[in-house]
Amino acid sequence: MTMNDSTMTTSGVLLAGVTKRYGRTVAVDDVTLSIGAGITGLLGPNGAGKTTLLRVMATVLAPDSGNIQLLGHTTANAQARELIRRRLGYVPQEPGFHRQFSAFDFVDYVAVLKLITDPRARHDEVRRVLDVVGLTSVMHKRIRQLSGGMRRRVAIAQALLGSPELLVLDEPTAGLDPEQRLRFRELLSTAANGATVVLSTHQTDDVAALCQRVVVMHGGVIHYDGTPAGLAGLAAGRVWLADARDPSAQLAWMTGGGMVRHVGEPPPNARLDEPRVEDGYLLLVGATVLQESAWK
Amino acid sequence: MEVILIGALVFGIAYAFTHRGANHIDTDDWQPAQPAPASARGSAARDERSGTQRAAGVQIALVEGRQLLRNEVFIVGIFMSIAILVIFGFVWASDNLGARNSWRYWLSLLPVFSLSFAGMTLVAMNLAALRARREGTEELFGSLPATSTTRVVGHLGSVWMALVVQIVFVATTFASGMFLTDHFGAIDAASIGDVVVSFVLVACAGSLAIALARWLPNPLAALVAVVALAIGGSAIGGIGGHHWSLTRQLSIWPRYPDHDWAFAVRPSWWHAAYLLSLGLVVAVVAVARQRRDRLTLLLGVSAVAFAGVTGYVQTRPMTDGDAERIAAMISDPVALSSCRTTDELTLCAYRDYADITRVWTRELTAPFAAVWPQKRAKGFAVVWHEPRLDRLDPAVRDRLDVEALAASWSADPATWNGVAVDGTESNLINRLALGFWSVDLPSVPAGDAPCWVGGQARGVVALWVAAQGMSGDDAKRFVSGTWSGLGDDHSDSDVPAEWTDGYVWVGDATPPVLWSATDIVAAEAMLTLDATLVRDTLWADWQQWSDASATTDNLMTELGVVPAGARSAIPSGLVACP
Repeated sequence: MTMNDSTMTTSGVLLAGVTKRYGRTVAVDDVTLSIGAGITGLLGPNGAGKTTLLRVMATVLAPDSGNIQLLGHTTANAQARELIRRRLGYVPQEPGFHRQFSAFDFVDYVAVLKLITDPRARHDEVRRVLDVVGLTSVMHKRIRQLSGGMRRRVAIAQALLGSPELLVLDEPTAGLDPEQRLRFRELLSTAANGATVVLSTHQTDDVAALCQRVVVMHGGVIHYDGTPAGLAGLAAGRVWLADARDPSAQLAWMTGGGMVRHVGEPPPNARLDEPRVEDGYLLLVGATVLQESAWK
Repeated sequence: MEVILIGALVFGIAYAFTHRGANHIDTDDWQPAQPAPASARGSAARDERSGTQRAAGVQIALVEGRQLLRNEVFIVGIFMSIAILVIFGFVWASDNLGARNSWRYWLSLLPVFSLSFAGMTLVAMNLAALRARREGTEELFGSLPATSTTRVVGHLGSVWMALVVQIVFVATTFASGMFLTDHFGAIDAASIGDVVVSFVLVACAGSLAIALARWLPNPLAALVAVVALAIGGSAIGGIGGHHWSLTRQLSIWPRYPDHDWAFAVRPSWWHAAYLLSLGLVVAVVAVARQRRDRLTLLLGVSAVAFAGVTGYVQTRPMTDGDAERIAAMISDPVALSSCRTTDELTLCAYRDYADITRVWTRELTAPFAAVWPQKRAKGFAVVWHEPRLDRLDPAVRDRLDVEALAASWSADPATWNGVAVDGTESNLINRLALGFWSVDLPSVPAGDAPCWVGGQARGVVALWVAAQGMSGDDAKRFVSGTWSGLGDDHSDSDVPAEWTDGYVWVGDATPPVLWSATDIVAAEAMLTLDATLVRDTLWADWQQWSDASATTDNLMTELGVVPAGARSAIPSGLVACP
């Protein structure tokens, strides 16, 4: 694991030796991490421990061991957790919705639980965040009438309430169409101005486009912590395009242009290609990711 | 051993059932609380961007209360209340004519009327409290600063909407009583207590809903609770049957004995306090799921102690003073009544109920005016008595000589004592009593059976007098005994089959007089004639028509009506009216 010293700050996320187990399974294993202002992407295959780590950061899950400091406060006592939660926005991996509520009513309800208790100010804030995610025109529709993408935007809207200083987003773009993803990138880059954003995603191009920093987890431990360019750079000189797949290659797939992209050892008659974040990521986590991808 | 194993199995299933999805997050389950660091303490108060937990609780209560109006179960509860109001306040309003129509009685029904709405409120609020769990928002809510306790308090507070609905229900009930029915009598402190009980019941339902959601987070638990409360409340509330029992006060639905509340001391305020304390106990239990500190413990112990005290006090016997007062009302009603005399018609009701004489006057003026003037001059009185002495509180009953009282009541034929007999038809019974008196027929049975007036003209005259002032249809229903609750109800098991030939009386009481079927037909025929013609014919020789020797056929011939038929034989076991 590498630690980017430039991100060491007391205003973001500080994890020291954090471990979380589910029975015999170690979901997060002695993770030490410091995250400061800006957008940090969290990459990893399914079961890597990303969601567990984000739930710990969102103060909804207590670690078995280790210390956590968020926004300058320890999470070990209730009063401090309340202080953190007042300045925290969270989109769970599977955000539930009160389907009978309208989008406005649901976000308003979350705003109440966020202790925004002045009705007028709260309603203004709810309208603002719904406008940010482009749901103004449908805000009085019941959530059960909204599409999956719209519901995702409702989830993002509630996380933006009160302009939080720490945003924890667990696969927020799942279910969004390309146009919505672009809009999400736009609003997140705006919202992240000065805030600490931790973004878990399977979309490496989102990471490349948005994140100043990327952390790769696998098996509950951190395998990479650095810039997206640095992650892509891990694959420099190891990405190849060939006309046919090398039978011995473990990381190879057909691209849209009809060429086969190989990561790793050069196949016969191949030419070198520019590495991307995805290549570096695949090189780190290896065949596991491809095997899992085959099931999707 | 088997019992232990079965118990362990049931506990295990219950535990697994109630802890399904135990990986869901509960904000206060993070880990054992540690003292806040000095830097953190007080920071929340300085955070000006947001409000307090208390303010959030209030806002949750407001939001959840409004959401109740979108809950189908809650709406069903409202419609049930409306249905009760329409049935009892409008549809049956015209039937509620008698002693059962006092404000005291009407208001004592409010808690019972409110039970269905309270039950629906319980289910609806339980569903609302389980919404986050059901729809998967617990994890999100766990990341928010409002604590579980705040959310519980907010859900408890959402009962305000149910109480608003209850206010509307009570106000509409009052309005229907004031403008659509002839409610009478005082609204005493116990009656106000009844109104308060109806609100407390609804509040307790909300409290129980949240406690169940916290401890047994499954909507079936609320349904089971409603059924259990209905069965348990009915069983405890019905202890003693028609007779007095103080134990029934411990029920959410205590039945009161079948006599007017003027003859009872009803601890409705203590009952309200008792129910309120039970609601508080349940509310503390709801909060204690997450918060177990000294304050919670203190509140819980206080609520339990309060419930114990109020439960004990409300089941205490009445004081000697109250028992003496009620016994005096029964043994000498006129002394404690307000009487109203118009011409020679005197109407007496207990002072709290003086305004019922207005209704009686309206009902009895026309029948009294149809009586021969010389008979009228002797005077007729209606005095409100309580005839159901066996159902009185023992403390009162022990102070009365029941047999002597009954004998003294029936001694004077010019005084009708039975106005408070069971039910809504007492005005009709008053009419009949007046009709009997006008032709010297008995108004109380001489023993366990009525006397036979079949074929006697005076029996028909009594019916005609009693029906004066009624519309044609009502008069026909009245004399034929088909008025709801009156007379010829063959299905009434209390009425011997041989009496079903013709009688007009309240179903479960022994009628004083029995007519033949042909007399009923004759009375119906008389009512179709010009009332002035009939009256003049009767007044011309009233003594003849009120004598046992004059037959129905004689009277019909005199009136120019074809006789209805041969006189029926006297049923076995009966004797002719003297």
